Amino acid sequence: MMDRTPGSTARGPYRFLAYAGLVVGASSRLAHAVAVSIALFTVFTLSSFILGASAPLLPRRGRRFVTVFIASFTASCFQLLFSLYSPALALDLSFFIGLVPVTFMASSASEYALSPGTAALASLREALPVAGLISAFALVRESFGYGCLTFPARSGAFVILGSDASSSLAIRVLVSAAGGFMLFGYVLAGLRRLRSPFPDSAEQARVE
Amino acid sequence: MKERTRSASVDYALVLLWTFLPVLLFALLSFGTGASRSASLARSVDAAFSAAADSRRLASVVPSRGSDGVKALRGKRFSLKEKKGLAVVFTIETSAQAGTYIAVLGPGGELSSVIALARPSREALTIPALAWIYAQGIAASETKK
Repeated sequence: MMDRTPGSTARGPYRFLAYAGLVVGASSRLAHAVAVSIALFTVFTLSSFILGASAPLLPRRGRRFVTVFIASFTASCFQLLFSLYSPALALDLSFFIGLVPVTFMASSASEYALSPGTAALASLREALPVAGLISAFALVRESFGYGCLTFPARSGAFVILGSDASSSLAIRVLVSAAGGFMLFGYVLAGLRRLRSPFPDSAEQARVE
Repeated sequence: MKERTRSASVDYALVLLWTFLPVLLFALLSFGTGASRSASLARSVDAAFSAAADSRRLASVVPSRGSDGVKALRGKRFSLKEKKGLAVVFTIETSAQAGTYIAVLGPGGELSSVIALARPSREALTIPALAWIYAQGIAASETKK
């Protein structure tokens, strides 16, 4: 069942709130953001494909329950394969990769009843803005919070930009969870301000 | 009525099938890749260790070099029901990896988890690998005792 709370529909302004935990948690480093973005693409696309391909074999009742297992299975497989490439990073990201099926269930991607290819594409379109948001947050948080930028590598992460001087000038609070939520709040407030630049005067005019 | 009952039974059977099938497949996949994952972890630890050895940071984090970089390094054995393991608490002070970490080692010597109590720096991504090295070292030294 989709959430019918006002403003929180699949197309509503607050639809990204379902991803808030993942966005804030996985965006402290670009290396994490890239790995979690790949996990998002993989889990969303594969789960939707499996759901679409096996639609005739899915139970009519308990379909959501089965969806949980399929999404968790794809996420676990991704974690397993990713640990073959970069075990240190996989250890660090195990919690966030575990959050991906949760966000899949919270998204409208798990609601599709389409052909496998169409479902996978629609799901990919659902994951794309979230991955972009996580990466954008990571670019801001890591560069200002740690004074560097990292990329996933076999030994953990590869520092692509950074120096001791920039590291000592970094604003550490940005990379903490509290800093992530602050940034998230500022972005949401900015979006609201963009949508309605002068809400107070409009409200006042409406009252008058 | 009979038709409805039959379809409900089929539904229950399908739910059971779709519940156990992913779990079974994952168990097979996990079992099949176990050796490769262990080898990959070992290679990764070696790479991290070599990378650290190339820099000055190793001198400040490895106690065998006689540095005071590692302020506290101690192991504590724990037993939870049937499981036994080793929890290692260590604090790194003088390195860019400054922070306090707990590494939990399983009964087979494998690294179960690393809990970072404070992870302020950009090099902290190699902490699981370093923690694994510390934990192995402590386990080996305790075995000798």
